Amino acid sequence: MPTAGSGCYGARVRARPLVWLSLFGLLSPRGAEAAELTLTSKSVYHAYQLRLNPLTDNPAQRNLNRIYTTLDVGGWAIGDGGDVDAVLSLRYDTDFGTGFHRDTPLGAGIPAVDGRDDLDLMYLYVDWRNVVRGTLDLRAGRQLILDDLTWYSLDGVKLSGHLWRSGEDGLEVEIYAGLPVRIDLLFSSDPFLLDGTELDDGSGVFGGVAFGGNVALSVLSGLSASLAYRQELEFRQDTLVNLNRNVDSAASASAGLTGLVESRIGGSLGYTIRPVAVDLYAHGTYDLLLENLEQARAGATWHPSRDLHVQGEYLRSRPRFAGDSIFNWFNIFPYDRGRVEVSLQIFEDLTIDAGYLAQYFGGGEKGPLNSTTAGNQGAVFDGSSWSHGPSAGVVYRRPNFGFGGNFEAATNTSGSYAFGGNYRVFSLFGDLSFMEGRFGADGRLFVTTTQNDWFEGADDGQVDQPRTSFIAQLGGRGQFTDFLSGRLLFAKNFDSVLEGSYRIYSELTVRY
Amino acid sequence: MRAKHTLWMGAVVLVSTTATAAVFFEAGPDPAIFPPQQIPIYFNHDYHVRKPDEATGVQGEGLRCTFCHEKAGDELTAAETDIPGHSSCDSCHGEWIDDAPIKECARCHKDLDPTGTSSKAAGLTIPPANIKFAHASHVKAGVECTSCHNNVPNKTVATRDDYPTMDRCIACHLEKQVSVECQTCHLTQPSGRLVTQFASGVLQPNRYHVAAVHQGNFLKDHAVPAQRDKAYCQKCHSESDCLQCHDGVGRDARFHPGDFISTHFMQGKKDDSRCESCHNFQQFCLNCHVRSGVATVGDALNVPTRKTIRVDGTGTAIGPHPMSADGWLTPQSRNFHGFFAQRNIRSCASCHQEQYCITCHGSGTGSGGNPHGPNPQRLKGNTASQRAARACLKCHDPADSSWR
Repeated sequence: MPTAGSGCYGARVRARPLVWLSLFGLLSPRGAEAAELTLTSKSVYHAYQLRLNPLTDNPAQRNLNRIYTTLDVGGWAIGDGGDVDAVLSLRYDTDFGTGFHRDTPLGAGIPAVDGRDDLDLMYLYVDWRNVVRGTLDLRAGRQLILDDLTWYSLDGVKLSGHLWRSGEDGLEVEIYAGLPVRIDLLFSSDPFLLDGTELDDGSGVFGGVAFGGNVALSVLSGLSASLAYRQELEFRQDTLVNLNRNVDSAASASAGLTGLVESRIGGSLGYTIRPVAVDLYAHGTYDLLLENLEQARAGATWHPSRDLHVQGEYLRSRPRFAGDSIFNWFNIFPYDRGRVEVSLQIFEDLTIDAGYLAQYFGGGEKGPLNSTTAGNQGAVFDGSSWSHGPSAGVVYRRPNFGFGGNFEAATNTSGSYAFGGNYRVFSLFGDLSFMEGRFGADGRLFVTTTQNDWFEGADDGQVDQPRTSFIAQLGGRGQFTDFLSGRLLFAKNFDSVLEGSYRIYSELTVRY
Repeated sequence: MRAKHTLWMGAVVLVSTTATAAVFFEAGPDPAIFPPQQIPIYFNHDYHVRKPDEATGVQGEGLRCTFCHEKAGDELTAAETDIPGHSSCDSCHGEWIDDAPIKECARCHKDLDPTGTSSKAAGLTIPPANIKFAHASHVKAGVECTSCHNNVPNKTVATRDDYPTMDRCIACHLEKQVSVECQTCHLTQPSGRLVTQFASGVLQPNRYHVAAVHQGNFLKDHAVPAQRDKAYCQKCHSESDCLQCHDGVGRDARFHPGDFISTHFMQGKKDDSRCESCHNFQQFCLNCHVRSGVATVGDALNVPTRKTIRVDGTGTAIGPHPMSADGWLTPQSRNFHGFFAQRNIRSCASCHQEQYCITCHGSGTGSGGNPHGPNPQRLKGNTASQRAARACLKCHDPADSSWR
């Protein structure tokens, strides 16, 4: 079974997307009244230096060269049979490795192949709007599901029904079903996968089934509510034998091959009080499998005009993992976070903002959380439960130039730095544009001070020293033609971890 | 009773202050829709519109709007601006215009010197509004001029501040049962999405759509509005726009400043849930940590310990967290790893895989203790153990059903 960093990034290509490609032809409306095709390609070259084994006696500076190219193809047609969009997003992402491998002895040279070489199909779908005029839309193919739950990548079909509309109010229903996109499928992309399990989950092409839906209701021109549910079942090919060597191998060979990996419900509620430009909102997700509240947040926004923006929010959060990840059973306590922010345009060109964030890590005061286990009695969490700090910024912006600065800091109470550490970040920036904004240049300076200690004094002699880094960055951008634009950025780090390393970032975008 | 009265008074003061502030802070129309104008003339709408009354001595001309703006009712696009020119003024003020000396021109044209010799005056710059709008249809529907331009009869020169705000447009459309879809008034691309980039600015949600206002921390915290009303986002954005940031490979300086490689651990230690909107801990984080020598993967018995990233006071490299000698594996120690796993397992998952934990916490080894927190019995019979037992089976023996 391939594992992280062991050369498992080989190009992944499977045939399933080809099935979706054929849908372009099948669903193309005959006798379309209007049609258009758009192509967008973005290529990024990102070179940076990484210091391996930093701060040790045998550090090594490695160059990392990364290239990724995306190709977005969008086509649409309007015809008697409804409006059809066909959308493709393809990404090729490669680097040439750090020359460092997970099995490499410390200090040794290397390398097995450890570079990335991924061809990802982010999505490929056909949107057929107005299958039933004004009432029903259909989307088929690889698509991203976005609702009150997390991102979800699906090879399947989604039906969207607009059941009722009146002015700004309405009732919308979506249902979908299909095959979940997994990391071992070719053309998959990891940001939209459930986290917490091995790189290759061994479930194969048809390793699961997913279905779900959501309902969104808007009434009274300002009150909205939505509810979403999703379930994913998996059928796995691998066994548990290699994971737990200490149990009955015969039983492990057939255990746990099917099961639920997700069963979640999420919802949101919002009320916009338009006369005073206030919005109140709440959102939450609940894991029905683990019977845990995963996230809950509530907040208010006041935006009486473009000059003033005020927001406050409370969040309770605990990590989300796939249902078959053991990490679910270790993270017991959620954290609570509150923040307030104000942005004020003092004059036409001068804007200031300020904010404050406080975070509370639960469980600390509860003492020996695993005291029922023999030998664990007496363990008391002695770290800081609170982390908090301010942020502020100011920017002066004219049509052709702007400059400003930002500041952010955080600290922990009680002199312990276990959660969030102590840090202060300053940045100064300036930019200008010319030739009617088609070309521009910008520069940034960052100064960051961090102290990544665990328990001050507890591990005597091992208190991490405060560390300050400086970064200078210069960049330029250009819109060369209506179809061609680019960016170039150069940065140099003066830092004990990266120690004088360089970074080059270039981007070229072509639109047709 | 007195307390209740005070509470009510407080609420009234709060609401009225808020409402007043909302009006006070209203800063005119959006420049993206109504570009800035230059109107260097003297004119008095108030006088021209006001009805004269000899009895009270009120002076005025009592003209209707269409007396000067005679073609407004026929305009089919926003580009047509029926601004009265010399010919319109000429009907009443012919003596000022025809072969008039400069001082007569300067009655209206601000930039002319009445004592000078140049008669070249700056023209009016009134760019067309970036919307779909037809005066004709509104006039035909019986909409009074003052329904939209309600302050003009009381003003001198009318400016872009006298265009209606979207609140007013929508209120009227709702009342008359006209569509309030964005594309009814806003310019659209061939794809149907709104045009947002204009020479005079970028069109963004305004106070009417306060939940989606792109200010403050919206760039980093737009998940809730996007989940709550994705159809609204799709008026302007495609899914490709989402992937520009969320695909986990691009590196935007707005989120990841120049030294983020060396400072991102602070976000990790805060367990910032925003990381997961672009990155998968067991893929993205783990792989980079392994490749850069920070982390090792596999089970705990077969991987080397990497002491890196931190140095102590003597300059000696120490582990990325307290190691076994510091009490990392001792439940009675304040440095016990269980405390951290129970509060921020994502930090663990960015460097370690499941096997690493199973090595000690697998039920057969007995060396790792029970990681389920207080009262592990509470988990017996829960949904996960019944319907998603794979996570349990990674540590528990399938042949032993006592844990279920």
